Amino acid sequence: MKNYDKVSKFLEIPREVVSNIPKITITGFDEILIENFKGILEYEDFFTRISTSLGNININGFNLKLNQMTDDDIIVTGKIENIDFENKN
Amino acid sequence: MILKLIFMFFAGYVNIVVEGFFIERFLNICRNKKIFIQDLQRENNTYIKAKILKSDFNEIVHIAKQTKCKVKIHKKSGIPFFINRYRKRKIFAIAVLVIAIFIFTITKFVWNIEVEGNENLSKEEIINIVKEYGINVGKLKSKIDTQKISNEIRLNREDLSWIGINIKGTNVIITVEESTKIPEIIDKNEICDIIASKDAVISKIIVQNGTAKVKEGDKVKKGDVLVEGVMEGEHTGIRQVHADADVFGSIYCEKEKKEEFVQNVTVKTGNEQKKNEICINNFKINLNKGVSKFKNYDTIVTNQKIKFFSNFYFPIEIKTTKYIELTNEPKKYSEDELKSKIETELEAELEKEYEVSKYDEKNKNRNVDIQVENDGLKVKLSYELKEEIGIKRNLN
Repeated sequence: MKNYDKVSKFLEIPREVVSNIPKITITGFDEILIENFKGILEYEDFFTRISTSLGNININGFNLKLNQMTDDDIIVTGKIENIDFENKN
Repeated sequence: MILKLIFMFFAGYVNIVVEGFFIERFLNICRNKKIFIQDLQRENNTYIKAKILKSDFNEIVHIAKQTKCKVKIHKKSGIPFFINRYRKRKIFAIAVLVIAIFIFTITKFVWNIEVEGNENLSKEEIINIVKEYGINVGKLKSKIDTQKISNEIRLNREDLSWIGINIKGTNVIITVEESTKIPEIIDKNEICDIIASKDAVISKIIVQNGTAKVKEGDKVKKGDVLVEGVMEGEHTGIRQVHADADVFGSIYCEKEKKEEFVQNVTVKTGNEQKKNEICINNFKINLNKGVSKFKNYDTIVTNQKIKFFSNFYFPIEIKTTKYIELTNEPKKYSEDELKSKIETELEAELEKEYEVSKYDEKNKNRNVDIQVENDGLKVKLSYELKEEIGIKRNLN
């Protein structure tokens, strides 16, 4: 929240654009798009752990695939069972 | 997504298999070096599959060495690999390109001229007319200004009342409307003569104004003065007037022919032979050798231009010559048969010369004279055709 200054708030610029906090978009139960991620901590086909600036995102499921990985976004597809967050602070 | 796939297809991509214990590290380094990874899939603990761009592969190998992983290429796809695979077939690729360019340039020219709507003028004549104005086979299409040319022709040609030029594909379609010549109309007040329009015998002459120069039964030739535009009065003296008269003339025409009862008639034997030729402008290639094997034959020549779709003509023609064998066989005619045969022949000849069929039934007299000789028939066909022959001629 501290990166989100008053100017950006006034101009209604999305937070994930001005800072490096992640934006997570879940489409259905089989696709997660994570923008502004930092790295992959673990990757198995039943468990994926992705680190972001705020903490880690754990995704449990089956047949997880890392579909399209670029330098700041990643799409995880597969049968997703649950998601949980590990907050750093 | 589809856009990305198309991009990958054009740039070329590699399906790789990475094997090792530090795959997460490998992936994170890839991410830091901004390597684009698609369709990452884990097969088992130490084994992943992914798609990467061709240009990133060297770096991937480098990273794999760092992280102690093994990289194997599973499949290469995309245009750069495709070109590489077929790089030895240069001539084929060049030929395809050359043919494409050739077809493209060929369609820029006119290769066929079609004429529609002509009645009196033949197709060749009209093609010659448009040739003067710059439309001929082999001309660049873009250099033809159809609007300008058709306007010019309309102005300059009196026998064409309208002409339309359409370019469709490599085909030029010329639509013409022929105009009929209007006879010169002479004003009632002007002085004129009446002259004969044809060689004829005067059958009837009714003078309304002027002095008759001929009487009934006189033979006149084309251009002779029939009625002079002069009046002589006791009190007025000689004065010139607008001649007016109805002059009817009879035209006598006849034809005679003698034929024998027994004649040699040409009959088709049913044997045929075909020969094909390829013509490119004036350059010809014979596909079959030699001349016809028949002694007596008829030839039928058909030309066919090669075309694409309906309007893309090529400057290549296929000329088919068909030989039909004929033999002479004597045939005996009966009197009636021979008579009708000769009559139709004579009729056709007269039609050609005098256009007999144009006259009304009441204006023509048909006469057939038949003489039977010992070995043949002599038929004489004659027509008397009545027609108004006087036309006005301006004296000025």
